[in-house]
Amino acid sequence: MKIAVVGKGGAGKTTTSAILARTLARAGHRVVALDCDTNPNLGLSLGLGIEATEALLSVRDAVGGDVEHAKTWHQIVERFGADAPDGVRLAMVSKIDQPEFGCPCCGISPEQLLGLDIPEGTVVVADFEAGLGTLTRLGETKVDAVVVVTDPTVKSLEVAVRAAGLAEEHTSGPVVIVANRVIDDADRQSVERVLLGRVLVVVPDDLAIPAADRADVAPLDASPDAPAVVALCGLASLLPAG
Amino acid sequence: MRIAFIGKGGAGKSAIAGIFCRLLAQETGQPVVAIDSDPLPGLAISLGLPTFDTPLPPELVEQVGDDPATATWQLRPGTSATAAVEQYAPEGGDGVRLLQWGKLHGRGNVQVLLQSQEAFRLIVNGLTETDRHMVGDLPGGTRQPFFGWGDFADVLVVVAEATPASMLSAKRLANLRGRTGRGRDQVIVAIANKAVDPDDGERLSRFSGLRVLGAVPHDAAIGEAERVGVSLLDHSPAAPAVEAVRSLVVAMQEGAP
Repeated sequence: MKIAVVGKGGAGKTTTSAILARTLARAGHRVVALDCDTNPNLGLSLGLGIEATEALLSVRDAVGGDVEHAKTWHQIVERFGADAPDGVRLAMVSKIDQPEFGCPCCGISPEQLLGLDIPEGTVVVADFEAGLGTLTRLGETKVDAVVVVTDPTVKSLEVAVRAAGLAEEHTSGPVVIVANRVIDDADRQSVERVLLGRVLVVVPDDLAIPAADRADVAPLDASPDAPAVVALCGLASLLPAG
Repeated sequence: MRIAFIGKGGAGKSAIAGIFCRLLAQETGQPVVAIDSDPLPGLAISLGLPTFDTPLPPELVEQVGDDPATATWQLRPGTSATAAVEQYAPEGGDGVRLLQWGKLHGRGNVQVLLQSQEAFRLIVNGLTETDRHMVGDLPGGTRQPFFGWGDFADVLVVVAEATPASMLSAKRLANLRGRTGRGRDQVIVAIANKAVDPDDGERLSRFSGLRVLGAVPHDAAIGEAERVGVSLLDHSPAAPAVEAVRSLVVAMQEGAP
């Protein structure tokens, strides 16, 4: 089971991915949270903390030269992974100290990694790099569901519309829209208007999320009852694994 | 002045770049070219332009050399970078011109796109030979800014919030400096955006090791303008964020970095 989380930078992909991964893990799934961003921050939102997130990145960045490459799903998840709360396994795909696609050490890109066979019963929540790049490069690879995260700004919605269109080419499963930072009915309507007829999870604008971010605590731990956190926990039930 | 804004996606690069361009034009009365190399929409709206996508016509360039393996591109003879800007870069608020990287819309003709993008590169290079102000809005994240997009800029300005994710991105960008073609002769500084605490600039500076030129306060007017899809300068010209960016423009003119 592979779930891709896409959207414009800053829309809330990483927050969404982290809450989704931990919700699925709490429901008993074996979950791998895959940070596909070349500027990886998923560890922060999962609750790993800033130091552990950077340490994980250093493992990635230290690989090079004659070091044996990690090419299989298992190797990547073991070697470039860390245990996160609720039993989620976090793995980092990209190396950031070189401005290249994917990982220069083993040459594997997020889109290739998602094309590999994953163990039966594992749910992969893949937090994509901002924009449409990884989605356009998926090629023949199919995922089982796509979550498109957007806020009610014109820029974010423009990306979401394109992402939703592309998503349908790469999944036979559901494409779910997360309408983030919704203040009022007008916000909700502007998302509904441009993403007509799609499944929508409405997440209210909620200061608990930036407050948790600033405190370097996962929103799920800092404010489990905050309206935005509760709404994002509901996303899992709309996906095949949930 | 030749500067480029970089930072984590969603940090506010386009919003600040758009306001910065227009205030720079207001303050100096000189021509400003806004350069958008982000493959996602953003800068056009912040400048007050309705269009998302205005790629350059492929006919602007021609190939030099017969062997496709070694051939290079040049602007068509008789076409200068400034003339191309006058003709093809749409004019936003305060006379700012928007030069846009050709975008991959659906699956267009690859050759057309390639030529359009060569034209973009050649015009940006050509503009560095002129005295026009150039202000770039570079792609978000840590990888794209070092693909050569920002080589025109003398100063890279990291836009960051005082959150761990945003400050980590700033620190990573600071460490990646020197990987551009320009190398280490490029100055890199930061500004704290969406500041809610007087210490935000100091926190960012301490964490990233970057010199922080100033702070732009969290301002609900930005969210309102972006929801309607108009420039903040047309929506709320007296907003606190506008004044903060104006101070930044003045500081940069006085040679702040």
